[in-house]
Amino acid sequence: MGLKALYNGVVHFTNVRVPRENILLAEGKGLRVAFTTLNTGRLTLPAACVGLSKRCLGIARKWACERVQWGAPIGKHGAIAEKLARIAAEIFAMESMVLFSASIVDRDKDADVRLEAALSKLWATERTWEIANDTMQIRGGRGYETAQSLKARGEDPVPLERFLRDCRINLIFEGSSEIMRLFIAREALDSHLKIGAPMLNSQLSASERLKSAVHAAGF
Amino acid sequence: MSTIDPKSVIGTSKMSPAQREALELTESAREAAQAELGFAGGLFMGRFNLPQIHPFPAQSIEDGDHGEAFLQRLETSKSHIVAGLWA
Repeated sequence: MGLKALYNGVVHFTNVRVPRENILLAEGKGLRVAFTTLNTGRLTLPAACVGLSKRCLGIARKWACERVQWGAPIGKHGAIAEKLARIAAEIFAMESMVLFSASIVDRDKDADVRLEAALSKLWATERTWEIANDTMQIRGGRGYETAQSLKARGEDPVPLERFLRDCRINLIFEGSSEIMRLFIAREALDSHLKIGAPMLNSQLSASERLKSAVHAAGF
Repeated sequence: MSTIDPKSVIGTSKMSPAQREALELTESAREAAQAELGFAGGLFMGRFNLPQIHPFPAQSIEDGDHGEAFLQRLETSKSHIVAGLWA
């Protein structure tokens, strides 16, 4: 659909033998290694989203000034002005989140940025998809048209339909939006769970659950 | 096999064996959270820790120069590529 340079496929591991000295971390700890590497992508992906969104805003602003409908540039119409304002506001928030999350790692390479990175990834990829979509709405029929087609008609070759195709994957890889919500809830609620979870655990005795409830209430 | 990981804080009694196994594997691969909460973690505990985000962390001048030089190079090669594409 998009990202035409992407190698995408299904990988099977059947009876794969790995020399002992090549094992990362330890046997059976592969998922832990995988989890650790995800943080990097969850900082770079939202950063790329900021770039794409800014490009969209540039395209939307230019077109909103040029295109005249109902006697005024479309940017003067409330419906379009609202979209432009929201896109700009969301880019500001997105960029701030990414810069902040990345700066934590700049300060301390071992910092725990799981939550910050996950929040940035979820928010930036979802907003960028909407921003690309809104920009296409503003560009109208020309937004739906390929850059090649626009170019052939002597128009500005804006590859907006490609942006939309390219950025859809962001909601899927490096942890899908659904997984990000689960992950964020799990990490964010960790302290709460440690305090209050035993009272909901039906495998524990009534007195243990009561003790936990009292403790949670005191907190 | 014990049906609950004592370290886990999530009850698994109502799960199917496959669900329980998946959860236990994921939970065991999870890194233990740091004692000191980051800004986002603090929000979920009802703490708004302003000093963690204000003043907003600024990039060092050295890092900034590094980035600017890279962006300039990127801009130059980009215009070459674009010129080639639409030639």
